[in-house]
Amino acid sequence: MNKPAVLAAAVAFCAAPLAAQYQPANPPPNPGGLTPIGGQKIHDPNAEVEAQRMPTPGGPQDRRPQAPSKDAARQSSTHAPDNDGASVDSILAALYASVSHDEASSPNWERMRGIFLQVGMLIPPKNPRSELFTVLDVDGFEQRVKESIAASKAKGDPTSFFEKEIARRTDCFGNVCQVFSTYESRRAPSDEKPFVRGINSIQLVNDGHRWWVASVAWDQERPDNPIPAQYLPNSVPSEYLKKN
Amino acid sequence: MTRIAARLAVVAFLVSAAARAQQPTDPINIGIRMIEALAKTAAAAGPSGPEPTPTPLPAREPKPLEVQPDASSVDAIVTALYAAVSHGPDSEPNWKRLRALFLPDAIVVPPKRPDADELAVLDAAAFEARIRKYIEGRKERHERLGFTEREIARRENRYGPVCQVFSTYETVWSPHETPPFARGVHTIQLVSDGRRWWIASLVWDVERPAQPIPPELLPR
Repeated sequence: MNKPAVLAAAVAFCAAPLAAQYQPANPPPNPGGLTPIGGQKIHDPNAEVEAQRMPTPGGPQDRRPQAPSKDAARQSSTHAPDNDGASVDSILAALYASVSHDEASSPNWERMRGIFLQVGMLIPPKNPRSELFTVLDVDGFEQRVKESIAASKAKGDPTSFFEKEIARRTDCFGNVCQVFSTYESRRAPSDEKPFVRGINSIQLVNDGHRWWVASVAWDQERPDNPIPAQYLPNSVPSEYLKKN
Repeated sequence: MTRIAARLAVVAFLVSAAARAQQPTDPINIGIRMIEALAKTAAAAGPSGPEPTPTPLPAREPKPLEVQPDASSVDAIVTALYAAVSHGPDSEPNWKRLRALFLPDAIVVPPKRPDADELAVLDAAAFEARIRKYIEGRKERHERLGFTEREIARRENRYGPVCQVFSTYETVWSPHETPPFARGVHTIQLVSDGRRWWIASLVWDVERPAQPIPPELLPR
């Protein structure tokens, strides 16, 4: 594929959802920025290279002896699936799944606590009116989302929230990974168009037994902040264009 | 006569300042812009215009930058991180500079020690204490001091005010030494508040014989 064709495809992909997305004057606030993957294959050239090169630490190939850990004890006391931390794929799936919920329910906070380091952080987009970032742990994030849901209910607005990952860039070395994960949020999984999109920057760390989320920082798409083509599905990363 | 003299003085000043004007960051440029504006106003006003104020020098010092240069860009903050932790045998890391790079709630996650049961997750203060303890330990054991860490390769993903950097480093005892005694990769999560960048989270792992740094994370 030549470069102009790739660019044209990227622009076409970008333009359509953007135009549709910003019809509402005030898109509802995005409380989570996180979503279920729903079993779809995510195109991630870096991860493919990585997967060929080395087994995922902490994954099924990990043969290191298990040692008792406080975090592991905390984990076992929750209802979270035990294998959420088994791999980069599974922990990202758990992150998106735990924040998604229908009108009748709320995010699965136990599951989310089960994948974050005890001091793990969530950093939502900064409110333009505030001087400083809001840095939350899972408890603080739960509080924030609960308030947001209560406010929506009071106004008669929808509260359901389904977020899914649509593209991913992964860099891993040993026990650390950073993931740039592009998401779409919908009110119902069957909605044709998302009401918002954005990118989660997710830092992961492996304690020798399993993966943990250390920090999630994100921003959402705005007319003046479009998602760059290389972070959308089926894009060819610029470093690959240069190489080939 | 006084008006003409004033204008001549302005022109003479501009000529003498021409050399300094080559430096875009020189505060003289602010003065020059003010004087040029005054000169234009005076010329437009003509003989019946108000008496121009002969101001040969800027009345006030330019305001100091609100944002320290260390935090002005992704490049600058990553460079500052390496510079701040590096130090000679008789000195220590630049604690003040280092602390200024981190969000107040930032976390630092070093590699798990082989004998540890769980990961140590630190804040900036505990990170500083850990480095101090490391230096003290080496001093007590009469081991070699000095520490220079430098970035040798970088991968970066940025979207608006969010950036993640995968930064391959090498560590030497003194700046001009090779080969390094350690290498590894930092993942640095950065956020910008619109004025400056902050380190939100710093996590890293070290290279080991069983865990070599892959070629794609090394310089080409």
